[in-house]
Amino acid sequence: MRKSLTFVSAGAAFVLAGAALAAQQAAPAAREPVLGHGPSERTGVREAGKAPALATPEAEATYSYGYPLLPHAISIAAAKAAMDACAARGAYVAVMVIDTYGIERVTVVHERARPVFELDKARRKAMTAMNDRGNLSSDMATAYSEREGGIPYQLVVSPVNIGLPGGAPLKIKGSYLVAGLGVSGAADPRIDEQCAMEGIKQVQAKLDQIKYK
Amino acid sequence: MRSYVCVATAAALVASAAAAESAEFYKVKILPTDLAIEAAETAVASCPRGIVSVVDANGTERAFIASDNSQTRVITTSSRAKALTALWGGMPSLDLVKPAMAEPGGITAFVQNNKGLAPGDGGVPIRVRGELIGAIGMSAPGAVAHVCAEKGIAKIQDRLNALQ
Repeated sequence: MRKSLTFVSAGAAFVLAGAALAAQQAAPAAREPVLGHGPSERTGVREAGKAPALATPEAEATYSYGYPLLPHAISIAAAKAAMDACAARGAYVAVMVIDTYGIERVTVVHERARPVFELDKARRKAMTAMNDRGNLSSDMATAYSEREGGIPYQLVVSPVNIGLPGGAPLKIKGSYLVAGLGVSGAADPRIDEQCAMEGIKQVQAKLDQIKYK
Repeated sequence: MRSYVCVATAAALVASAAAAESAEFYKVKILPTDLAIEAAETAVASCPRGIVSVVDANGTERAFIASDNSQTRVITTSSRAKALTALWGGMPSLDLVKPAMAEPGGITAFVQNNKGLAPGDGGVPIRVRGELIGAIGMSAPGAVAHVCAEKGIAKIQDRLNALQ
């Protein structure tokens, strides 16, 4: 008798659980609206099946989904050209390309470069170039030096920035920032910057062909 | 000709001339970066939206490519971990799944005890005449990743074998 009772109660529990599951499945409309990839944080939450609410016609003109991302073929060509330019001068470097989100896209380390130290500095130089709205990483150091009479301690020890030349932006037609390239490893960081500029020069023609809004 | 053995060899010779009893440096086989880049490019070309990482015999990264439209935040760490796993085991990281599961505590304990390793599909060691000189780690959504990694190695294997 007791056994059969437990069976019955177990069956009831099973039915209840099934009903709860069905109720969960039947109500997908209560879900949170899905956040889109890209600049939806700035323009507000995008509702499912609707265009995002925009404040002004100007905003509508500049709005686009996604973010500028350089094709990896161009990034790797630039990094390789920068590494080879430095190797021709007897400097063995690490090169990193980051996107506009600050995420690493391409890394190249010469077999005679010190990988860990130089890669860290290359990343910081690329980050500095992007942080400074697409100026050279040396420009930030120069600006600080002129304004405050020296490079501040915070810029030297920051895990993100570094007050050294070697970081350069990749821009379409000199205005639209798509990536940052950092070079590190030469004894004189000014050579790093020259190599970075040479690497970017190699891909500038391809870069200018990219269409953007 | 590219110097295949450690750069420090010349320094070791100088040091041994100065003091006859001085010890030699370890000679580490070096993976040329040009070849590492080419392997990475080939691997990425055969796996769309893939991320590839090529490490040398020390496990330090020599080339890394996150291809177009790839989920960088999700699988960047995974590609590196797989390269290190292949290097650690000296075999494809897919073959390490069974030994990891056989350990006490299963694969969960294995991953917890060996931080940074990821037994799973995607890591392939690079060998020259049987000697381990590096590894490729590949992560790609909806694809058999180790096939793409092997394509990358196959492209450079002849030139690796030709090195001194």
